[in-house]
Amino acid sequence: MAHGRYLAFGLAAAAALTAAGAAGIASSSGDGVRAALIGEKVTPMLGGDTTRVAAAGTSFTFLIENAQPGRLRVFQFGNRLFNTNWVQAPGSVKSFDGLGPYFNRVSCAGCHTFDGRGRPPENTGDPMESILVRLSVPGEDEHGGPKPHEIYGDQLSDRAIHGVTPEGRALIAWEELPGAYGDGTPYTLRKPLVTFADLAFGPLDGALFSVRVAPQMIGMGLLESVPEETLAALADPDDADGDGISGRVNMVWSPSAGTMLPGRFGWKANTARAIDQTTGAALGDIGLTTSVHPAQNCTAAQAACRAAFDQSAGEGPEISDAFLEKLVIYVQALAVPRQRGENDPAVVRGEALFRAAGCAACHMPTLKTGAAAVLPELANQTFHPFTDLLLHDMGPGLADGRPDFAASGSEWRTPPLWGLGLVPRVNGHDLLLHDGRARGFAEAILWHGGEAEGAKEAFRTMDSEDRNALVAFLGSL
Amino acid sequence: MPDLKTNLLLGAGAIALTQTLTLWSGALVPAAAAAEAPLSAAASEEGGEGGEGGGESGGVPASYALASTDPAQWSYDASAVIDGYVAGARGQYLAAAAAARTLQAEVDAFLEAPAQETLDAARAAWVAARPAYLRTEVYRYYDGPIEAVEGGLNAWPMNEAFIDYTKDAPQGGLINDPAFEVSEAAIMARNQATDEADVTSGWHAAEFLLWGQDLSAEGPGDRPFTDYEPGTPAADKRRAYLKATVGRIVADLDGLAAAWDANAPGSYATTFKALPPREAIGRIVNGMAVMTGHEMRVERMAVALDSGDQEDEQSCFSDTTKMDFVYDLEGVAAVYYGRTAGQQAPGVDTLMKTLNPERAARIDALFGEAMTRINALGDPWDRVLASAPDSPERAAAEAAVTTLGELAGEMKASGTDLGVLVQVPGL
Repeated sequence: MAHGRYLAFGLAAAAALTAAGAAGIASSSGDGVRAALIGEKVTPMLGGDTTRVAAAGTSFTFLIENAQPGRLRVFQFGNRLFNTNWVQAPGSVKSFDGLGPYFNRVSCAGCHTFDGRGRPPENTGDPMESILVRLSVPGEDEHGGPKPHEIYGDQLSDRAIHGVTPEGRALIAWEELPGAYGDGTPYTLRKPLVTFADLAFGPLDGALFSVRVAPQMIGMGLLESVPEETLAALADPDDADGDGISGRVNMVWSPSAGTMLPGRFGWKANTARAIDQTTGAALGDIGLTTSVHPAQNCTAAQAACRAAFDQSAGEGPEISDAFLEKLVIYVQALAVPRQRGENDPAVVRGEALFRAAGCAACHMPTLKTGAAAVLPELANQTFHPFTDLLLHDMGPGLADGRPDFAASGSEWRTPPLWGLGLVPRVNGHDLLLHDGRARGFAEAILWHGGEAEGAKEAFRTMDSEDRNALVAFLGSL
Repeated sequence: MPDLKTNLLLGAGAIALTQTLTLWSGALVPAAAAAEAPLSAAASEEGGEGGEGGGESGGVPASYALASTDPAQWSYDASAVIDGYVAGARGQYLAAAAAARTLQAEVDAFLEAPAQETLDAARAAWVAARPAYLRTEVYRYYDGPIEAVEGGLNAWPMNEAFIDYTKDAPQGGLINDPAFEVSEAAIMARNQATDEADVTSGWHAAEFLLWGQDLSAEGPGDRPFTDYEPGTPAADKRRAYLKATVGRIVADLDGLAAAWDANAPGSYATTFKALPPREAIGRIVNGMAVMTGHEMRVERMAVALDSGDQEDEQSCFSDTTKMDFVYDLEGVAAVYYGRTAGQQAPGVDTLMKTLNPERAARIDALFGEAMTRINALGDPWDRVLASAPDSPERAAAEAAVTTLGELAGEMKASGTDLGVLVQVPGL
């Protein structure tokens, strides 16, 4: 079956990245790599040669600037797939049916609208349009990942096709938490309080859950192409350098490669490759099978789901390999927009403050790809994602208590900061962090704890002009 | 003809345009200033085409003018070409607004007396109004005024079930949602807000409201006129929805015509004419190259051919997609040759004949070949999409894709002759 093609591709690509990384920086010590990358000057071309000039509602939707001839047609078909509203089988067009039985949204763009960022519902009880709830129970699956709930699986499905009852709904209410800056200015943070309703298979007592918004899609191919050796060099699991920061690589199961690989994507770096992220979301969020995930998203206890799928299933996966290949290239080739306002004095000062406060220790300003990359255009690039792709303990305030491979209940991947200043234009909101609790950059920073406690305190005790400058810098990215 | 005074005084549209110019130049202004833009307005004003209508340049580079150490290089006189382009844009948008006004009158007459005859007349007016609009699409893909409204004016592909009932959802859509009160503001607030395909406004929303779903391979959609007989809650809302949608199309086009009025102080046209010549020429050539090489060739033609989905056509309810190709290319050629809205001005062709006569000759030949190939496309377009992989219909369409690619490639390469940056990645 065609599954094998992806396995072969996966191993070849992973091996190539490993070899390139080893050749490039094997002689450097970890500290040397870290110091060299932090010392690299940030340019407005945040995605290197792939950067697109874009400052509009469509800023996240563009093909990389240096795309090779012929790339556009494939990319644009991938875009078509990303925007497809999948329908219940049998539909009028067989290649675009297969929705469900369980799903959260009917398209990729339903959550990643304009390839952008999701948000929690505006009002408690509103439908969840671009955010979902991951589920598990204590323990591990056969690869060391989260152990799915015996009945509900690993994700709450709040929608289903005709004839199948959705698993249930999550309701998010907010608890306001007062605080104050060092200069006495008060602020209020809000923390989500999650409850469940209409549960089809009884209570979720004892389950671990984590609310996750859909992140923006830009720059994934560059992040996927960072050599493994760079990640290993940046990691400092035992805090050997004594700076209080101990980044760890999350080693995760790659269903496409059939092996453990460093996690790069997802809020806990629980996904290694763009194809794993894409096929995982296709199955979990839309109910679409692929050669990577040929089995439908129904647990043994979910008879109606299984019956519906068995009845409608045609030959082969619901997303064909030919389509999947284009969809993955689309995801890998979405360009990072250029920085705006880099000469504004507040932005310039904000970057200095960002570094002085210690933010750059995890939000690594610069990463590089070597000669091998998932697309040739992404090779040999110096770019500015402001992430080290590593896990860091963020303290009890942000903890979800739900381990994910090596990530503990209080560890999160450093999210990239590129493009965040454009989220208001693309998606009409400025909500940040894994569950969208932070209303803007300042609140997001104030939620940091654990390894980032020192950086958070540096920000909290700045005067308002400095705080505004730091936020202006983040908004320019 | 629309009243000039109305255009000049047009409030809402003009304000929106000014805001967006600020936003777009936001590529180069401090983030703090950009943050002042209202969040919800930013998202709804600037959506691209449904499915992102990708390919839009998305912003402008710091400069379209290529740098040279030789001051004499690219010192050609472009003023007549730029003046002609501005006058042409003004004329094309005036024509589009006038055609849309005729559509509006026929829709009003239909709503006044719903019957097959009046519905047919309204449909015919929609078809008759499209060519003038399609000829303006070449004024996209830089920081022009269309970018402020395009997402609300011509977005596709659209999930029609979001607006009204469909075969699979007989009680679906905003029109059947008791909680949705029809108003222009409510319609615009929902445009592409929850999904890119959740298009609520513009030409294709009006098209769906007039024709209904295209459930036939042979002909267009066939919504009954009784859908608009007043008296039921759904019909009353549908009537209000159609009227608001068409009204917004007219208002947007009036606003665009006003923005291109070089005699109106502070208009986009005056800004455009004040640009350094090669900054203006860069915008002109990018609009032509992206329209040809990305929008027509890939977004609308190649993607549809690759999917084989009959619904992958821009004007799927009325089955007039082939017409879209013809008049879009006509608009591009009109700009290149300076022949717009019945006027003749020096076009980009006059510059190319001097700067690179060989390329100018190739572009002439490719324009002719592209028009021939597009005229030879099967009609309706959905029958081409439904045809077998090796059918003559598909071969003809692939030939058009190839020629459009060659034409756009020459346009992109003409940047080195004209001294401007032309951005069409992955062509």
